[in-house]
Amino acid sequence: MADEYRYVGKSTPRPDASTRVTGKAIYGDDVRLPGMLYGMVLRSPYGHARIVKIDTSKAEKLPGVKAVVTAKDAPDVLYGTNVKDMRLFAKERVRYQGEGVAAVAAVNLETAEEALQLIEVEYEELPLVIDPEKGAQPDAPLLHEEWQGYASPPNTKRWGNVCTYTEVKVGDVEKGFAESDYIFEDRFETPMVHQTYLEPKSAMAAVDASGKLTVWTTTQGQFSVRASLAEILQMPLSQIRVIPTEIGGGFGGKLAAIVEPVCALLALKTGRPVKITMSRDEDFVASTPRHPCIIEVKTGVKKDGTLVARQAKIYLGTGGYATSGTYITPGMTPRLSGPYKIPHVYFEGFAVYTNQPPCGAYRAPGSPQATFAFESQMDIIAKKLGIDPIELRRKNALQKSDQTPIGSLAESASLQEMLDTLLEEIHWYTKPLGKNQGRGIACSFWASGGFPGSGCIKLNEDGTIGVLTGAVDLTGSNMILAQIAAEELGVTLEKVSVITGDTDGAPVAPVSAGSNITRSMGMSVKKAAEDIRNKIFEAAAESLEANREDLELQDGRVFVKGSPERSLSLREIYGIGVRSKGGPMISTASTGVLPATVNFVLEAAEVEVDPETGEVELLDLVAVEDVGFAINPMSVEGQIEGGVVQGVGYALMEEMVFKDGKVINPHLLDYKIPCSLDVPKVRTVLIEERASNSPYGAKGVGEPPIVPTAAAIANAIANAIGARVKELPITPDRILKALKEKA
Amino acid sequence: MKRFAYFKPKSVEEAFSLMKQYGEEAKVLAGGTDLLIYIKSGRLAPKYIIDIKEIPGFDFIRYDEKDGLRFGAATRLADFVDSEIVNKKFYPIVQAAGAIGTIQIQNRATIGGNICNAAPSADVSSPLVALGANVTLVSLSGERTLPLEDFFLGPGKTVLARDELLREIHVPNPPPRTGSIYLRLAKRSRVDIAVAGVSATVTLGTGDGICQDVKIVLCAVAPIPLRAKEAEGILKGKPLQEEVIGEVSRKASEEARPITDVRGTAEYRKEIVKVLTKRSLIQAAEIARSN
Repeated sequence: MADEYRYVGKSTPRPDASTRVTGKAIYGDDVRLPGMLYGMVLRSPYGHARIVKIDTSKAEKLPGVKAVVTAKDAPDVLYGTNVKDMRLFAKERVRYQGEGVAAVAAVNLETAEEALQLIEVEYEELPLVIDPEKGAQPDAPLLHEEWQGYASPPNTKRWGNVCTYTEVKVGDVEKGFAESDYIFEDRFETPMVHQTYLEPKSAMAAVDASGKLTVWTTTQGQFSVRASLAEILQMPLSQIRVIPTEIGGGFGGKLAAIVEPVCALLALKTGRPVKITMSRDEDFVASTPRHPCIIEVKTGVKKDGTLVARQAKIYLGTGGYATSGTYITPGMTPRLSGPYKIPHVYFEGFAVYTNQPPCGAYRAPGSPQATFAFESQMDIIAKKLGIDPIELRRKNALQKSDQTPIGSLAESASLQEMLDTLLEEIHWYTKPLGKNQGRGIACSFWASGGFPGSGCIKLNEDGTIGVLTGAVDLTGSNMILAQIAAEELGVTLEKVSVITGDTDGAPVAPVSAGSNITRSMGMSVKKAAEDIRNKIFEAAAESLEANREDLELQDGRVFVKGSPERSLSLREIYGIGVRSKGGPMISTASTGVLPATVNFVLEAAEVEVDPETGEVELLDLVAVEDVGFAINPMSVEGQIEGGVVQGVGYALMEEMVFKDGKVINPHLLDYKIPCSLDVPKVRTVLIEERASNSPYGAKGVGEPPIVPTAAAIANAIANAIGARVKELPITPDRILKALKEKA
Repeated sequence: MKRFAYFKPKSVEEAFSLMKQYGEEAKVLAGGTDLLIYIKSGRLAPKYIIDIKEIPGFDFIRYDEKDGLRFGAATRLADFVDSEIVNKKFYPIVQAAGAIGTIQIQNRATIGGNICNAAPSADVSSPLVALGANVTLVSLSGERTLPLEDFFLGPGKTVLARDELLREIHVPNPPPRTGSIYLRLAKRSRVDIAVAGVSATVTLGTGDGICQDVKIVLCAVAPIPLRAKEAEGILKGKPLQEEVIGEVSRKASEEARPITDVRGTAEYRKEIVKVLTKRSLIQAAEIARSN
């Protein structure tokens, strides 16, 4: 099918790959400016405490220190994604270990570090809330005594420590349970995990003579950083320019403005450029990890396996501040029915303040947690009823005509057919399992749309093509845009250059998140390409004495269909444009909000468990994903492999461990992520059921692959050992414990 | 990170003179993969660093059929992984050196550094104790040689005096029909610190498969590399059979004194000691039979 195109649908290595791998790309910390200062943030050592006193006088007197700032130096602004509950620096109270209390700017890092030690802060410790379920109880210590005064959208349900409450009701769940033959009740727990991008957060801020602020930062969205800076510093957008550097991974963790406003405040105060680069330890405690969850699922089924009713409660520990818990909770709660038909459901989601880092977006926020719970329970049900877990899923699987809580399935691939593909790939019915080996699958869905933005294409003097976007290239998306431009304009890829511009130079673009850039920015660039193609044809038509409709563009030349000898090069067309068409050719196009498309993603795992040590060896991993249309199959496969590997970490080893409100493993030695030898080759199968309203039918692909991985591995382990671990990560000691309980 | 002055002495005398001059304000660097982390984290703030890697006679691997294996304290871990003779005759050292950190770390870290850092989880120490290694310490006033087993006092603590350097390690040639192995368990397959490790050296009597001599050394489950002497006592003079090995493994597990930390609970570590003791004895005996 891909043969209908020349450039899209073909695996194409990104041109900047070697620049990135060799470290020659300019990342956040590589930015240097004359006269720059080094900033550092003093962070709370306690999970919950009252600030009695802050004395910065000694730090201010230290030679080489140019500024010390605390809450009183920043505009007294409460900000946040929906619930406005957070300040740039803690005022009166700290609500997580790692919360910023003060910051310094000094001539070098050693001086800045010494200055931090000279800031005297007197704390009075307060009782901790870590468990979100307990935190939601009326007798729990209140983290925000002033919660009622916070601004939030009018329909936000919240009280006390519950900063967002969501309720989903379909049918009559009590009636459903009454009609069920069996009722299953299970409780699942998932840990707080960090995105562990390779590059820690880093930003530089400088102020020019006119007072205009420029910020360089490693971010997933320069426009959203600009908006945050404007809100936090109370400055107009026009006075702020944000330049995104190359980014060393984000996974949702580089959306919130965290270091940028601190740098900016220090730069405004000193008049000199200030850079802050977080240490790995700091990035662990002061960024936006994945919400830890407690998920209680009660499901009623008929003897034959028909799902009748489900009631579920999900508690998200959202950390000291609400941030994105306010949209992740309503986003994930309805998904607790999974890709299945359940006539009666009642779900409740609680985002609860805890004395932990404020959680945020991490690749498919909310869904790996929910999927681990409901897909584990599907296998529990199958085992109890003596039904093949595959047949249980087939029986209840959503059909094309079904409504889902996250969108229509009209353009989605068939779950049943994808299941067939998955089973064949993992040799479900054909390959016998060895001793202590097990196999498991998990089915899930995800939905992604497009956020508004614009793209721009120009014809250069030599006939090459320039694409300007405001979208940060997080996953090779600039390559996708190049492929689209090459396809539409009939030029080779080498003739197309794509650049990500800053907030002043580029048209407004969405954040590189929510698996939306290929769709939204791809759409804008495709439309802009179509527009400039029209201009090119118009200019060529006169010279070639032909109708526009009879013209074709290929290999950098416009020619009359059927008479290739009558042609003009794009360089010549540029000249025509300048001479007689009002100047150089440029086209822009915009895309509004694109409705979400739903894509299924199914995964299977094969494991071998050492029953004496509890160690798990992954023997095989297969991912089948509906990608709509793979514009760059190599890049899509890479994203799926990456998502699965992060899912492996989530399943088996990753966890931010808290003791007395402090993260005790804030470094990559004891916060384990899988290394290459822990993961077998991830086998990917791309299903291409095209979406309308999307360039070439592409769907969002970056987030879905992480969604079912932990569930598939959990099911494979349960299959191998005949016992179930309902808590992530499934560590060797938890496996031994489960085995002991079984015996 | 605090600034420090860096010295790279070219002779042992020069090193001693610097050590004497700067006393407690100086730290010896033998690779720096632990020391630099302590400095960066603020746990240590030495004003002077004395790098011993260029001192002649501190970086070598030498084998002699009579004398056995000798190597310098500043020999890099990677050199053991690459050494043909160590691979052939002293394989547990390769297992341990090759398990530490990444290839990059193994190219920089030294065996003496790993020993003197005296972390309870130090991989090279347990197999070296199980192989009966001796260490030679030198100072201005002379030198002394002692069993490595007696070198450790506690986490980060050794018998090394402030004016002393570990110069070389000697591993005697094992008796005939001896097998040795080091097994470790970590949460991740590579680039990880051991949750627990066990090194066993087994010498078989002639013919009947009786265990004539055995050393069982536990890693990361006690303040020092711990000989499980009671367990060894049970096995000595007995046949290496399933039942005996089971009893020995349970005893070794009892002798372990692990702590609960982020890498594992004490309970889990004890369980792992049992499993690894069993497996290491079986594997060491297999090697012994073929030697």
